[in-house]
Amino acid sequence: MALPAPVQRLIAELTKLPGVGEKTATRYVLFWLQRSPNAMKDLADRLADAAGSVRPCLVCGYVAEAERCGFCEDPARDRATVCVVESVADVLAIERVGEYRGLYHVLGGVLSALRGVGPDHLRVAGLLDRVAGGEVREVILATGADAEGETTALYLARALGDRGVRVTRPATGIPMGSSIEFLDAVTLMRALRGRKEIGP
Amino acid sequence: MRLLSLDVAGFRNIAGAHVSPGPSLNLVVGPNGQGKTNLVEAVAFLSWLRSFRTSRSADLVARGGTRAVLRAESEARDGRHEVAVEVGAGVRRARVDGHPVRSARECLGCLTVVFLSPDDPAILEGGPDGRRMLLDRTLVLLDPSRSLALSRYQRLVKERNALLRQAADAPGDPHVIEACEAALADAGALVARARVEVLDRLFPVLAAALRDLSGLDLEVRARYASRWLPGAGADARSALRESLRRHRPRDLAAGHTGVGPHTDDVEVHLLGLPARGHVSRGQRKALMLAWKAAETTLFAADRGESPVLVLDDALSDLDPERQERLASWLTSYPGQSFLTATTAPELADTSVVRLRAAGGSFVAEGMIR
Repeated sequence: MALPAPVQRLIAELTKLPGVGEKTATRYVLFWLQRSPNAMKDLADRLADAAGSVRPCLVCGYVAEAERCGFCEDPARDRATVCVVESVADVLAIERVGEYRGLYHVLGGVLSALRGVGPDHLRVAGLLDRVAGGEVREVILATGADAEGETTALYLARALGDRGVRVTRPATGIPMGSSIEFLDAVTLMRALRGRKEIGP
Repeated sequence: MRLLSLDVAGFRNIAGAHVSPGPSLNLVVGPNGQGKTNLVEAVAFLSWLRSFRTSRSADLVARGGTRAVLRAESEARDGRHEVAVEVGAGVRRARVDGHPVRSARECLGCLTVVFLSPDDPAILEGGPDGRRMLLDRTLVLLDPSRSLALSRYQRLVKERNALLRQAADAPGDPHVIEACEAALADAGALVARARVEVLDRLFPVLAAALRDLSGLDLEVRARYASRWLPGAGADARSALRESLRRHRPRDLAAGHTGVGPHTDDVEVHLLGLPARGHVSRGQRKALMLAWKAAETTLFAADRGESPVLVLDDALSDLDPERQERLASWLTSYPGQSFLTATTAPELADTSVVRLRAAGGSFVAEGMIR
Protein backbone atom coordinates (compact mmCIF):
# COMPACT_ATOMS: atom_id res chain seq x y z
CA MET A 1 0.00 0.00 0.00
CA ALA A 2 1.44 3.39 -1.03
CA LEU A 3 1.61 6.23 1.49
CA PRO A 4 -1.46 8.50 1.59
CA ALA A 5 -1.44 11.44 -0.85
CA PRO A 6 -0.83 14.24 1.73
CA VAL A 7 2.26 12.39 2.99
CA GLN A 8 3.53 11.92 -0.56
CA ARG A 9 3.03 15.63 -1.31
CA LEU A 10 5.00 16.51 1.82
CA ILE A 11 7.84 14.21 0.77
CA ALA A 12 7.85 15.78 -2.69
CA GLU A 13 8.04 19.25 -1.11
CA LEU A 14 10.99 18.28 1.10
CA THR A 15 13.00 16.96 -1.85
CA LYS A 16 13.23 20.58 -3.05
CA LEU A 17 15.62 21.24 -0.15
CA PRO A 18 19.33 21.25 -1.02
CA GLY A 19 20.94 17.87 -0.44
CA VAL A 20 17.64 16.10 0.28
CA GLY A 21 16.59 13.27 -2.01
CA GLU A 22 13.46 11.16 -1.85
CA LYS A 23 14.98 8.66 0.57
CA THR A 24 16.01 11.31 3.09
CA ALA A 25 12.70 13.17 2.70
CA THR A 26 10.78 9.96 3.41
CA ARG A 27 12.93 9.30 6.47
CA TYR A 28 12.18 12.79 7.84
CA VAL A 29 8.44 12.46 7.31
CA LEU A 30 8.27 8.97 8.85
CA PHE A 31 10.25 10.29 11.82
CA TRP A 32 7.69 13.04 12.41
CA LEU A 33 4.79 10.66 11.93
CA GLN A 34 6.17 8.19 14.45
CA ARG A 35 7.33 10.72 17.02
CA SER A 36 4.04 12.08 18.31
CA PRO A 37 0.78 13.26 16.84
CA ASN A 38 1.72 16.87 17.61
CA ALA A 39 5.26 16.82 16.20
CA MET A 40 4.14 17.81 12.71
CA LYS A 41 1.75 20.41 14.03
CA ASP A 42 4.60 22.00 16.02
CA LEU A 43 6.79 22.07 12.94
CA ALA A 44 4.00 23.65 10.91
CA ASP A 45 3.62 26.36 13.59
CA ARG A 46 7.37 27.09 13.51
CA LEU A 47 7.28 27.38 9.73
CA ALA A 48 4.30 29.71 9.87
CA ASP A 49 6.03 31.81 12.57
CA ALA A 50 9.16 32.20 10.51
CA ALA A 51 7.24 32.90 7.31
CA GLY A 52 5.15 35.56 9.02
CA SER A 53 7.82 37.36 10.98
CA VAL A 54 10.98 37.57 8.88
CA ARG A 55 11.75 39.25 5.59
CA PRO A 56 14.87 40.54 3.79
CA CYS A 57 16.31 43.72 5.31
CA LEU A 58 15.31 46.67 3.14
CA VAL A 59 18.86 48.06 3.28
CA CYS A 60 21.18 45.07 3.00
CA GLY A 61 19.06 42.01 2.21
CA TYR A 62 20.04 40.06 5.35
CA VAL A 63 17.27 38.27 7.28
CA ALA A 64 15.33 40.83 9.36
CA GLU A 65 12.42 40.84 11.77
CA ALA A 66 11.66 44.48 11.01
CA GLU A 67 12.38 46.72 8.02
CA ARG A 68 16.07 46.75 8.94
CA CYS A 69 18.17 43.84 10.18
CA GLY A 70 20.20 43.52 13.35
CA PHE A 71 23.44 44.54 11.59
CA CYS A 72 21.98 47.68 10.07
CA GLU A 73 20.43 48.68 13.44
CA ASP A 74 23.54 47.90 15.52
CA PRO A 75 25.22 51.19 16.56
CA ALA A 76 28.45 49.32 17.35
CA ARG A 77 29.02 48.29 13.69
CA ASP A 78 31.31 50.37 11.49
CA ARG A 79 28.95 52.09 9.06
CA ALA A 80 31.72 53.25 6.72
CA THR A 81 32.50 49.71 5.53
CA VAL A 82 30.16 47.50 3.51
CA CYS A 83 30.98 43.92 2.68
CA VAL A 84 29.19 42.68 -0.46
CA VAL A 85 28.38 38.95 -0.46
CA GLU A 86 26.36 36.56 -2.60
CA SER A 87 24.13 35.07 0.10
CA VAL A 88 23.05 35.10 3.72
CA ALA A 89 25.17 31.99 4.26
CA ASP A 90 28.25 34.05 3.33
CA VAL A 91 27.37 36.59 6.04
CA LEU A 92 27.23 33.79 8.60
CA ALA A 93 30.61 32.46 7.42
CA ILE A 94 32.26 35.88 7.76
CA GLU A 95 30.64 36.47 11.16
CA ARG A 96 32.04 33.16 12.42
CA VAL A 97 35.53 34.56 11.89
CA GLY A 98 34.73 37.43 14.26
CA GLU A 99 37.19 39.75 12.50
CA TYR A 100 34.82 41.98 10.56
CA ARG A 101 32.94 44.84 12.25
CA GLY A 102 31.32 46.60 9.30
CA LEU A 103 27.96 46.21 7.56
CA TYR A 104 26.89 43.80 4.83
CA HIS A 105 25.16 43.86 1.50
CA VAL A 106 23.60 40.58 0.32
CA LEU A 107 23.37 40.54 -3.49
CA GLY A 108 21.10 37.51 -3.63
CA GLY A 109 23.20 35.71 -6.25
CA VAL A 110 25.82 36.41 -8.91
CA LEU A 111 25.71 37.66 -12.48
CA SER A 112 25.15 34.85 -14.95
CA ALA A 113 23.96 35.53 -18.45
CA LEU A 114 23.59 31.77 -18.96
CA ARG A 115 21.08 31.55 -16.13
CA GLY A 116 19.48 34.87 -17.09
CA VAL A 117 20.72 36.76 -14.02
CA GLY A 118 21.58 40.39 -14.76
CA PRO A 119 22.28 43.36 -12.44
CA ASP A 120 18.52 44.02 -12.21
CA HIS A 121 17.96 40.62 -10.61
CA LEU A 122 20.44 41.33 -7.82
CA ARG A 123 20.52 44.03 -5.10
CA VAL A 124 22.87 46.17 -7.17
CA ALA A 125 20.78 49.35 -7.35
CA GLY A 126 20.39 49.22 -3.56
CA LEU A 127 24.18 49.02 -3.16
CA LEU A 128 24.73 52.03 -5.43
CA ASP A 129 22.11 53.95 -3.42
CA ARG A 130 23.86 53.10 -0.16
CA VAL A 131 27.16 54.32 -1.53
CA ALA A 132 25.52 57.49 -2.90
CA GLY A 133 24.32 58.19 0.66
CA GLY A 134 27.88 59.33 1.43
CA GLU A 135 28.48 57.43 4.68
CA VAL A 136 30.30 54.49 3.04
CA ARG A 137 34.10 54.79 2.62
CA GLU A 138 34.99 51.22 1.63
CA VAL A 139 33.16 48.49 -0.24
CA ILE A 140 34.60 44.97 0.09
CA LEU A 141 33.62 42.76 -2.84
CA ALA A 142 33.45 39.32 -1.21
CA THR A 143 31.80 37.34 -3.99
CA GLY A 144 33.18 33.88 -4.78
CA ALA A 145 36.37 33.22 -6.74
CA ASP A 146 34.62 31.13 -9.42
CA ALA A 147 33.97 32.52 -12.91
CA GLU A 148 30.62 34.13 -12.03
CA GLY A 149 31.74 35.49 -8.66
CA GLU A 150 34.81 37.02 -10.27
CA THR A 151 32.78 38.57 -13.10
CA THR A 152 30.32 39.99 -10.56
CA ALA A 153 33.15 41.57 -8.55
CA LEU A 154 34.72 43.04 -11.69
CA TYR A 155 31.31 44.41 -12.68
CA LEU A 156 30.67 46.01 -9.28
CA ALA A 157 34.18 47.49 -9.28
CA ARG A 158 33.28 49.23 -12.55
CA ALA A 159 29.82 50.30 -11.40
CA LEU A 160 31.32 51.74 -8.21
CA GLY A 161 34.38 53.08 -9.97
CA ASP A 162 33.64 56.81 -10.05
CA ARG A 163 31.79 57.12 -6.77
CA GLY A 164 34.72 58.05 -4.60
CA VAL A 165 34.78 54.95 -2.41
CA ARG A 166 37.61 52.55 -1.83
CA VAL A 167 36.74 49.24 -3.51
CA THR A 168 38.59 46.15 -2.27
CA ARG A 169 38.49 42.39 -2.80
CA PRO A 170 39.53 39.80 -0.21
CA ALA A 171 42.87 38.15 -1.06
CA THR A 172 42.71 34.90 -3.00
CA GLY A 173 45.66 32.59 -3.18
CA ILE A 174 47.65 29.89 -1.52
CA PRO A 175 45.49 27.93 0.92
CA MET A 176 46.99 27.64 4.40
CA GLY A 177 49.13 24.55 4.76
CA SER A 178 49.61 23.83 1.07
CA SER A 179 52.72 24.07 -1.06
CA ILE A 180 53.24 26.13 -4.22
CA GLU A 181 54.27 23.11 -6.29
CA PHE A 182 50.78 21.63 -6.39
CA LEU A 183 48.75 24.80 -7.01
CA ASP A 184 46.81 25.27 -10.22
CA ALA A 185 47.75 28.14 -12.52
CA VAL A 186 44.67 30.29 -11.81
CA THR A 187 45.20 30.19 -8.06
CA LEU A 188 48.93 30.78 -8.32
CA MET A 189 48.48 33.73 -10.70
CA ARG A 190 46.02 35.30 -8.24
CA ALA A 191 48.32 34.69 -5.32
CA LEU A 192 51.27 36.33 -7.10
CA ARG A 193 49.22 39.28 -8.20
CA GLY A 194 47.90 39.83 -4.68
CA ARG A 195 51.32 39.54 -3.01
CA LYS A 196 52.01 41.70 0.03
CA GLU A 197 55.10 43.18 1.55
CA ILE A 198 56.36 41.23 4.50
CA GLY A 199 58.17 42.81 7.47
CA PRO A 200 61.57 41.75 8.79
CA MET B 1 51.54 3.00 -13.28
CA ARG B 2 49.44 0.05 -14.32
CA LEU B 3 46.10 -1.66 -14.22
CA LEU B 4 46.12 -4.78 -12.04
CA SER B 5 42.55 -5.81 -12.70
CA LEU B 6 39.55 -4.54 -14.57
CA ASP B 7 35.87 -5.38 -14.09
CA VAL B 8 33.37 -4.25 -16.68
CA ALA B 9 29.61 -4.84 -16.41
CA GLY B 10 26.71 -3.71 -18.56
CA PHE B 11 29.03 -1.60 -20.71
CA ARG B 12 28.17 -1.59 -24.44
CA ASN B 13 28.42 -5.24 -25.58
CA ILE B 14 30.28 -6.37 -22.46
CA ALA B 15 27.71 -8.00 -20.14
CA GLY B 16 30.31 -8.83 -17.55
CA ALA B 17 34.05 -9.30 -17.90
CA HIS B 18 36.96 -9.63 -15.54
CA VAL B 19 40.40 -9.03 -16.97
CA SER B 20 43.81 -9.24 -15.30
CA PRO B 21 46.14 -7.54 -17.75
CA GLY B 22 49.85 -8.23 -17.92
CA PRO B 23 52.39 -5.62 -16.81
CA SER B 24 53.67 -4.82 -20.29
CA LEU B 25 51.98 -5.22 -23.68
CA ASN B 26 48.43 -6.56 -23.78
CA LEU B 27 47.16 -7.49 -27.21
CA VAL B 28 43.39 -7.39 -27.43
CA VAL B 29 42.65 -9.48 -30.49
CA GLY B 30 39.55 -10.80 -32.19
CA PRO B 31 37.24 -10.25 -35.17
CA ASN B 32 35.23 -7.05 -35.62
CA GLY B 33 32.38 -6.34 -33.23
CA GLN B 34 33.60 -8.57 -30.39
CA GLY B 35 34.19 -5.77 -27.88
CA LYS B 36 37.91 -4.97 -28.29
CA THR B 37 37.37 -1.22 -28.57
CA ASN B 38 34.74 -1.32 -25.83
CA LEU B 39 37.24 -2.87 -23.43
CA VAL B 40 39.90 -0.23 -24.04
CA GLU B 41 37.27 2.52 -23.99
CA ALA B 42 36.42 1.31 -20.47
CA VAL B 43 40.11 1.58 -19.51
CA ALA B 44 40.28 5.17 -20.79
CA PHE B 45 36.96 6.04 -19.13
CA LEU B 46 38.30 5.04 -15.72
CA SER B 47 41.11 7.55 -16.14
CA TRP B 48 39.40 10.51 -17.84
CA LEU B 49 35.83 9.92 -16.62
CA ARG B 50 34.67 10.40 -20.18
CA SER B 51 34.52 8.50 -23.40
CA PHE B 52 36.51 9.61 -26.42
CA ARG B 53 33.88 8.04 -28.68
CA THR B 54 30.66 9.57 -27.44
CA SER B 55 29.47 12.43 -25.27
CA ARG B 56 26.13 10.65 -24.61
CA SER B 57 26.53 8.49 -21.53
CA ALA B 58 23.42 6.51 -22.48
CA ASP B 59 25.41 5.10 -25.44
CA LEU B 60 27.75 3.40 -23.00
CA VAL B 61 25.07 1.30 -21.34
CA ALA B 62 24.42 -2.21 -22.66
CA ARG B 63 21.15 -2.57 -24.52
CA GLY B 64 18.28 -3.16 -22.11
CA GLY B 65 20.30 -1.99 -19.10
CA THR B 66 20.26 1.24 -17.13
CA ARG B 67 23.78 1.40 -15.68
CA ALA B 68 27.26 0.39 -16.65
CA VAL B 69 29.74 -0.32 -13.87
CA LEU B 70 33.50 -0.16 -14.32
CA ARG B 71 36.03 -0.96 -11.65
CA ALA B 72 39.78 -1.05 -11.78
CA GLU B 73 42.54 -1.78 -9.37
CA SER B 74 45.61 0.21 -10.27
CA GLU B 75 49.13 0.50 -9.01
CA ALA B 76 50.84 3.87 -9.07
CA ARG B 77 54.09 5.05 -7.54
CA ASP B 78 52.27 6.05 -4.38
CA GLY B 79 50.56 2.67 -3.95
CA ARG B 80 47.44 0.80 -4.98
CA HIS B 81 44.16 2.46 -5.81
CA GLU B 82 40.66 1.41 -6.65
CA VAL B 83 38.74 3.45 -9.19
CA ALA B 84 35.04 2.70 -9.66
CA VAL B 85 32.61 4.37 -12.03
CA GLU B 86 28.90 3.96 -12.50
CA VAL B 87 27.50 5.52 -15.63
CA GLY B 88 24.07 5.77 -17.24
CA ALA B 89 21.77 8.28 -18.92
CA GLY B 90 22.62 11.59 -17.23
CA VAL B 91 24.44 9.82 -14.39
CA ARG B 92 28.14 9.51 -13.68
CA ARG B 93 29.34 8.55 -10.24
CA ALA B 94 33.01 7.96 -9.66
CA ARG B 95 34.90 6.87 -6.58
CA VAL B 96 38.61 6.68 -5.97
CA ASP B 97 39.54 4.48 -3.02
CA GLY B 98 35.93 4.72 -1.86
CA HIS B 99 35.79 8.53 -1.90
CA PRO B 100 33.46 10.23 -4.39
CA VAL B 101 35.27 12.33 -7.00
CA ARG B 102 33.78 14.83 -9.39
CA SER B 103 36.42 15.46 -12.01
CA ALA B 104 39.03 13.50 -13.91
CA ARG B 105 41.61 15.69 -12.19
CA GLU B 106 41.14 13.50 -9.12
CA CYS B 107 41.39 10.18 -11.01
CA LEU B 108 44.36 10.96 -13.23
CA GLY B 109 46.84 10.62 -10.38
CA CYS B 110 45.75 7.03 -9.65
CA LEU B 111 45.33 5.80 -13.19
CA THR B 112 46.66 7.83 -16.09
CA VAL B 113 45.76 6.59 -19.54
CA VAL B 114 47.12 7.92 -22.82
CA PHE B 115 44.62 6.90 -25.44
CA LEU B 116 44.75 6.80 -29.23
CA SER B 117 41.44 6.36 -30.98
CA PRO B 118 41.23 5.32 -34.65
CA ASP B 119 39.44 8.63 -35.29
CA ASP B 120 42.28 10.75 -33.90
CA PRO B 121 44.43 10.91 -37.07
CA ALA B 122 41.52 12.60 -38.89
CA ILE B 123 41.95 15.51 -36.44
CA LEU B 124 44.95 16.62 -38.50
CA GLU B 125 42.69 17.03 -41.53
CA GLY B 126 39.61 18.52 -39.89
CA GLY B 127 38.83 21.88 -38.31
CA PRO B 128 40.94 23.56 -35.60
CA ASP B 129 38.61 22.48 -32.77
CA GLY B 130 39.91 18.90 -32.92
CA ARG B 131 43.52 20.00 -32.75
CA ARG B 132 42.80 22.31 -29.82
CA MET B 133 41.12 19.44 -28.02
CA LEU B 134 44.11 17.21 -28.71
CA LEU B 135 46.51 19.79 -27.31
CA ASP B 136 44.29 20.51 -24.31
CA ARG B 137 44.26 16.79 -23.55
CA THR B 138 48.07 16.83 -23.54
CA LEU B 139 47.94 19.90 -21.30
CA VAL B 140 45.69 18.24 -18.73
CA LEU B 141 47.60 14.96 -18.90
CA LEU B 142 50.86 16.68 -18.00
CA ASP B 143 49.30 19.00 -15.43
CA PRO B 144 45.75 18.07 -14.36
CA SER B 145 45.39 21.37 -12.48
CA ARG B 146 45.32 23.12 -15.89
CA SER B 147 41.81 21.78 -16.36
CA LEU B 148 40.63 24.47 -13.92
CA ALA B 149 41.81 27.34 -16.15
CA LEU B 150 40.41 25.55 -19.20
CA SER B 151 36.95 24.98 -17.79
CA ARG B 152 36.88 28.48 -16.34
CA TYR B 153 37.73 29.88 -19.76
CA GLN B 154 35.11 27.74 -21.53
CA ARG B 155 32.47 28.79 -19.02
CA LEU B 156 33.30 32.49 -19.51
CA VAL B 157 33.11 32.21 -23.31
CA LYS B 158 29.60 30.80 -22.90
CA GLU B 159 28.77 33.67 -20.53
CA ARG B 160 29.99 36.27 -22.99
CA ASN B 161 28.09 34.60 -25.84
CA ALA B 162 24.91 34.71 -23.76
CA LEU B 163 25.55 38.40 -23.03
CA LEU B 164 26.07 39.13 -26.73
CA ARG B 165 22.77 37.48 -27.61
CA GLN B 166 20.94 39.31 -24.82
CA ALA B 167 22.42 42.61 -25.97
CA ALA B 168 21.01 41.98 -29.44
CA ASP B 169 17.49 42.08 -27.92
CA ALA B 170 18.09 44.92 -25.47
CA PRO B 171 21.42 46.63 -24.88
CA GLY B 172 22.13 46.19 -21.18
CA ASP B 173 24.62 47.71 -18.78
CA PRO B 174 27.97 47.89 -20.69
CA HIS B 175 29.88 47.27 -17.45
CA VAL B 176 28.60 43.68 -17.45
CA ILE B 177 30.24 42.64 -20.70
CA GLU B 178 33.42 44.53 -19.81
CA ALA B 179 33.62 42.66 -16.50
CA CYS B 180 33.08 39.38 -18.32
CA GLU B 181 35.83 40.23 -20.82
CA ALA B 182 38.26 41.08 -18.03
CA ALA B 183 37.68 37.70 -16.38
CA LEU B 184 37.80 35.98 -19.79
CA ALA B 185 41.14 37.60 -20.62
CA ASP B 186 42.62 36.40 -17.32
CA ALA B 187 41.71 32.77 -17.94
CA GLY B 188 42.30 32.92 -21.70
CA ALA B 189 45.85 34.25 -21.35
CA LEU B 190 46.70 31.37 -19.01
CA VAL B 191 45.22 28.82 -21.40
CA ALA B 192 47.05 30.14 -24.46
CA ARG B 193 50.42 30.50 -22.69
CA ALA B 194 50.09 26.98 -21.33
CA ARG B 195 49.27 25.63 -24.79
CA VAL B 196 52.31 27.28 -26.36
CA GLU B 197 54.51 26.02 -23.55
CA VAL B 198 53.32 22.42 -23.87
CA LEU B 199 53.55 22.49 -27.67
CA ASP B 200 57.16 23.70 -27.42
CA ARG B 201 57.93 20.81 -25.07
CA LEU B 202 56.01 18.21 -27.04
CA PHE B 203 57.29 18.64 -30.57
CA PRO B 204 61.00 17.93 -30.19
CA VAL B 205 60.07 14.70 -28.40
CA LEU B 206 57.38 13.97 -30.97
CA ALA B 207 59.88 14.41 -33.81
CA ALA B 208 62.19 11.83 -32.24
CA ALA B 209 59.29 9.39 -31.73
CA LEU B 210 58.18 9.87 -35.32
CA ARG B 211 61.71 9.03 -36.55
CA ASP B 212 61.60 5.82 -34.48
CA LEU B 213 58.13 4.83 -35.65
CA SER B 214 58.44 5.73 -39.33
CA GLY B 215 62.16 5.24 -39.91
CA LEU B 216 62.19 8.56 -41.78
CA ASP B 217 62.95 12.13 -40.85
CA LEU B 218 59.74 13.90 -41.74
CA GLU B 219 60.92 17.24 -40.33
CA VAL B 220 57.81 17.69 -38.27
CA ARG B 221 57.15 21.20 -36.94
CA ALA B 222 54.23 22.80 -35.10
CA ARG B 223 53.14 26.36 -34.57
CA TYR B 224 50.44 27.70 -32.28
CA ALA B 225 48.41 29.84 -34.65
CA SER B 226 46.60 32.67 -32.94
CA ARG B 227 45.25 35.97 -34.22
CA TRP B 228 45.57 37.73 -30.89
CA LEU B 229 48.39 36.19 -28.86
CA PRO B 230 51.49 38.44 -28.71
CA GLY B 231 55.03 37.02 -28.63
CA ALA B 232 56.59 35.60 -25.51
CA GLY B 233 57.23 38.24 -22.87
CA ALA B 234 54.38 40.52 -23.97
CA ASP B 235 51.26 40.83 -21.83
CA ALA B 236 48.81 38.23 -23.18
CA ARG B 237 46.06 39.28 -20.81
CA SER B 238 45.95 42.90 -22.02
CA ALA B 239 46.24 41.73 -25.64
CA LEU B 240 43.23 39.45 -25.29
CA ARG B 241 41.23 42.11 -23.53
CA GLU B 242 42.00 44.60 -26.26
CA SER B 243 41.11 42.07 -28.98
CA LEU B 244 37.81 41.26 -27.31
CA ARG B 245 36.95 44.95 -27.06
CA ARG B 246 37.83 45.55 -30.72
CA HIS B 247 35.87 42.49 -31.78
CA ARG B 248 32.78 43.37 -29.80
CA PRO B 249 30.76 45.05 -32.61
CA ARG B 250 31.37 42.07 -34.92
CA ASP B 251 30.66 39.61 -32.08
CA LEU B 252 27.40 41.40 -31.27
CA ALA B 253 26.27 40.93 -34.87
CA ALA B 254 27.39 37.29 -34.96
CA GLY B 255 26.06 36.38 -31.52
CA HIS B 256 29.25 34.65 -30.45
CA THR B 257 32.84 35.37 -29.47
CA GLY B 258 35.05 35.38 -32.55
CA VAL B 259 38.48 35.79 -31.00
CA GLY B 260 40.42 34.08 -28.22
CA PRO B 261 42.05 30.74 -27.40
CA HIS B 262 38.88 28.92 -28.50
CA THR B 263 39.52 30.09 -32.09
CA ASP B 264 43.26 29.30 -32.15
CA ASP B 265 44.80 26.42 -34.08
CA VAL B 266 47.79 24.12 -34.05
CA GLU B 267 49.48 24.12 -37.44
CA VAL B 268 51.52 21.02 -38.13
CA HIS B 269 54.05 20.86 -40.95
CA LEU B 270 55.77 17.81 -42.43
CA LEU B 271 58.73 18.28 -44.77
CA GLY B 272 57.86 21.95 -44.94
CA LEU B 273 54.28 21.34 -46.06
CA PRO B 274 51.12 21.83 -43.99
CA ALA B 275 49.97 18.44 -42.63
CA ARG B 276 46.46 19.42 -43.59
CA GLY B 277 45.92 18.15 -47.12
CA HIS B 278 49.52 17.11 -47.82
CA VAL B 279 49.99 13.86 -45.93
CA SER B 280 48.91 10.28 -46.48
CA ARG B 281 46.65 8.32 -44.14
CA GLY B 282 49.62 6.28 -43.00
CA GLN B 283 51.66 9.39 -42.24
CA ARG B 284 48.77 10.90 -40.30
CA LYS B 285 48.53 7.71 -38.28
CA ALA B 286 52.27 7.69 -37.61
CA LEU B 287 52.17 11.36 -36.60
CA MET B 288 49.35 10.72 -34.16
CA LEU B 289 51.13 7.69 -32.72
CA ALA B 290 54.22 9.85 -32.27
CA TRP B 291 52.10 12.50 -30.52
CA LYS B 292 50.88 9.91 -28.01
CA ALA B 293 54.34 8.41 -27.62
CA ALA B 294 55.69 11.90 -26.87
CA GLU B 295 52.97 12.38 -24.25
CA THR B 296 54.09 9.23 -22.47
CA THR B 297 57.74 10.33 -22.58
CA LEU B 298 56.99 13.77 -21.12
CA PHE B 299 54.69 12.31 -18.49
CA ALA B 300 57.37 9.83 -17.45
CA ALA B 301 59.98 12.61 -17.32
CA ASP B 302 57.73 14.67 -15.00
CA ARG B 303 56.37 11.93 -12.77
CA GLY B 304 58.95 9.21 -12.83
CA GLU B 305 56.45 6.58 -14.02
CA SER B 306 54.93 5.76 -17.38
CA PRO B 307 51.21 6.13 -18.04
CA VAL B 308 49.08 3.26 -19.31
CA LEU B 309 49.16 3.51 -23.11
CA VAL B 310 46.07 2.42 -25.01
CA LEU B 311 46.22 2.18 -28.78
CA ASP B 312 42.96 1.27 -30.42
CA ASP B 313 43.35 -0.17 -33.91
CA ALA B 314 46.77 1.43 -34.32
CA LEU B 315 48.15 -1.06 -36.85
CA SER B 316 45.66 -0.39 -39.64
CA ASP B 317 46.76 2.09 -42.31
CA LEU B 318 50.40 1.29 -41.52
CA ASP B 319 52.52 -0.66 -44.02
CA PRO B 320 54.16 -3.92 -42.80
CA GLU B 321 57.47 -2.20 -42.01
CA ARG B 322 55.75 0.52 -39.95
CA GLN B 323 53.62 -2.13 -38.21
CA GLU B 324 56.77 -3.97 -37.21
CA ARG B 325 58.38 -0.77 -35.97
CA LEU B 326 55.32 0.02 -33.86
CA ALA B 327 55.20 -3.51 -32.43
CA SER B 328 58.85 -3.41 -31.47
CA TRP B 329 58.47 0.09 -30.00
CA LEU B 330 55.53 -1.19 -27.94
CA THR B 331 57.38 -4.22 -26.61
CA SER B 332 60.10 -1.89 -25.34
CA TYR B 333 57.59 0.57 -23.84
CA PRO B 334 58.57 0.86 -20.16
CA GLY B 335 54.96 0.89 -18.90
CA GLN B 336 51.80 -1.09 -19.45
CA SER B 337 50.10 -0.89 -22.82
CA PHE B 338 47.04 -2.17 -24.67
CA LEU B 339 46.80 -2.65 -28.41
CA THR B 340 43.67 -3.77 -30.19
CA ALA B 341 43.97 -5.60 -33.51
CA THR B 342 41.96 -8.00 -35.63
CA THR B 343 44.99 -10.25 -36.09
CA ALA B 344 47.80 -10.46 -33.58
CA PRO B 345 51.21 -9.44 -34.85
CA GLU B 346 53.95 -12.01 -34.40
CA LEU B 347 55.87 -11.07 -31.29
CA ALA B 348 58.67 -13.07 -29.74
CA ASP B 349 58.41 -11.31 -26.38
CA THR B 350 57.09 -13.75 -23.77
CA SER B 351 55.76 -11.03 -21.48
CA VAL B 352 53.03 -10.19 -23.99
CA VAL B 353 49.53 -11.13 -22.89
CA ARG B 354 46.89 -11.89 -25.50
CA LEU B 355 43.30 -11.13 -24.60
CA ARG B 356 41.11 -12.88 -27.13
CA ALA B 357 37.79 -11.09 -27.55
CA ALA B 358 34.61 -13.02 -28.39
CA GLY B 359 31.12 -11.66 -27.89
CA GLY B 360 32.12 -9.23 -25.14
CA SER B 361 34.21 -11.78 -23.21
CA PHE B 362 37.98 -11.85 -22.96
CA VAL B 363 40.13 -14.89 -22.51
CA ALA B 364 43.77 -14.37 -21.57
CA GLU B 365 46.44 -16.34 -23.37
CA GLY B 366 50.18 -16.17 -22.84
CA MET B 367 51.86 -15.01 -19.70
CA ILE B 368 49.61 -14.75 -16.68
CA ARG B 369 50.96 -13.07 -13.58
